[in-house]
Amino acid sequence: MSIERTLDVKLNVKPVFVAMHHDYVFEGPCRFGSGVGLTKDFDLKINQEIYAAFLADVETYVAKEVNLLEPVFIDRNEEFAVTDEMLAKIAGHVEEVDVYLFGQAGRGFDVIIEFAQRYKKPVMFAENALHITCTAAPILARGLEAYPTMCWEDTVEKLKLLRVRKALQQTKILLAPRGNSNISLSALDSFLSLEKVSDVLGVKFRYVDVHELLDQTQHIAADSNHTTPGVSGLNPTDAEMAEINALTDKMIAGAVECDMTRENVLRSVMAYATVKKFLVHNECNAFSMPCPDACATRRLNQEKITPCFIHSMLNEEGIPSACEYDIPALISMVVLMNLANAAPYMGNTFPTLLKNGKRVNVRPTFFKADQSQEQDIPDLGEQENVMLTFHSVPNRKMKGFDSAESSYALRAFARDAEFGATIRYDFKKDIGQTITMCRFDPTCSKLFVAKGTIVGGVGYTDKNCSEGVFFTVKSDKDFFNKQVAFGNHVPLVYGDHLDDLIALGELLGMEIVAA
Amino acid sequence: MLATALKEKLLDSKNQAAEQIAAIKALPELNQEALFFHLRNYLKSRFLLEEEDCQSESLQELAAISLAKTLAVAPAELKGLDLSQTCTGSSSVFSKKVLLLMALERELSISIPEQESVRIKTITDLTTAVLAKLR
Repeated sequence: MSIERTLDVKLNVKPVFVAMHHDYVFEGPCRFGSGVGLTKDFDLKINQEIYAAFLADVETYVAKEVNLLEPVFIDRNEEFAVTDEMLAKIAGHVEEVDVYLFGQAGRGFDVIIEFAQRYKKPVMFAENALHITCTAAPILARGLEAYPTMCWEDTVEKLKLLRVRKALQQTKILLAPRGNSNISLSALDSFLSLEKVSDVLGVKFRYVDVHELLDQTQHIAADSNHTTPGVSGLNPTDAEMAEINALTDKMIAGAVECDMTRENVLRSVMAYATVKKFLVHNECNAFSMPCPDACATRRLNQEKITPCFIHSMLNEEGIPSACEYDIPALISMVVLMNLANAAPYMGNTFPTLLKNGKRVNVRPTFFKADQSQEQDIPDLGEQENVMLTFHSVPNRKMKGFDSAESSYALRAFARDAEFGATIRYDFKKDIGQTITMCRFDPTCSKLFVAKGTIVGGVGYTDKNCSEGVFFTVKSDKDFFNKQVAFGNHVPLVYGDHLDDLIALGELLGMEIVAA
Repeated sequence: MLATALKEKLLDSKNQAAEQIAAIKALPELNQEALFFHLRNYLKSRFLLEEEDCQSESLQELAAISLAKTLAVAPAELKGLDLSQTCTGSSSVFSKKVLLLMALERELSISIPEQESVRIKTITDLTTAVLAKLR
């Protein structure tokens, strides 16, 4: 068994072509043409030509983006009949179909409307300059889904967005709570109701007790875990330990710098491997666990684990994973990852104002390293509208899953005990890079969206939760004033995906709040 | 082009097309090569094309060139200009192809059903289909 990533979700599209021929030769207010062009034979032949062209366009534009199902050809005459047989033929195996993509020759609009009413499935009408709006309006007015498109490029864009919506619907999040399975201590800005999230976005949730999870990171007999005595757990097997050791060595060898002992890196890799086993076991494809709630039991300290490495590794594998049990951030990461085909990054997000020539909110409490205080932060100079997003969870695939792995360092989270591996990425290498951000609000009815430009980085040489990226936005004041209704972590991806993000938000029924 | 000259050209093309049909009917032995030669000339006449226009063998491309010449635009510009004149919403390029096939059906007393006609993409395809019908 493997993890079914949302990135691999395909949209099942069924092409349908409705053609009308005239059995009789006549002219009139809606009967055009002349000579043999008015004959049935002409209609039958020309309809086949248009159908072939439709299928060729579907192949050219759409095929590589979706899973194409068997096309259907519907022939009708000037009686304009809509029969049950026709509708059933169009429907096919309706449960397999995500979108019906209609093309037509002659009048087939009423067929589409009645089909949408009967089967309540999304219908899309590919490039057809005439009658698109008069087909869409009655479907939309009935509260059904219709996606009229202006051209094939528009068709592809809309299908991509529908694919991301399907990816969301196929997102199953594994959560590892301690005290509260809805809201963690450090993610009080989470969704008020996860039930509503399932209703609105289709995302599902599964749970595992965080202490049971931590127990099973140990390489001990699977039925000897403290919290589940006698019950067989998902502890790493001997064979898996060999893989874990190999990955540990690979991560250390691949790092530009590694400031940690192998033993401490190994514990983080064991935690990551265990989480993956839990994801597979629970058929999940996204993950989050709490920080302060779990930290407070001293168990993380005892196990020499922090969640950072787990999040970094999962994200770069296309499995969204968010810090601090932040579910709105996690679902935002699902969206961003799927729109950008790049691994997201997340962290505390806020303005770093200049007061009397000094940056506020970047105190040594977090940003302790000399490099951070003496170079990274001063390097920002007098720039206005600078925001910071920080958490030590960058990864090596932020430039895209198809890009080469970025270089990284491995450093500890815990300053004294030096456990808790974190991936360190030097964001300063990407100054000038456009980024796109979003976050759902606690009511799951609004989506905050923004774009920025990287202007610096901090914490590459540091330990702890000190790693971050500085970026400018149009107005930090506007950003902040809007962000307050959404929450702290505002996940980001590289690239300009703002238009797609807004279009997707609207498709999901969200009110868009853009900064 | 003056109206008279255009009329003469159309008449001339019609006569040339008729000559090609007569030549096909008079062939002592039907074969692919001879039929291809006459069908290509027939198409040139019906589509008002010159020899230099006929670099392609594709019926759709040749129809597009013909239409573009009539409209005095580049073939690439056709898509935005080629508005349907039929109830089906077809393009004039498709119509030209279908009308060509229907004319051949009528003049050679053959029948090419729509499931076959849609698969005829080139002059070679056309030759093969007509040859099968005439034999």
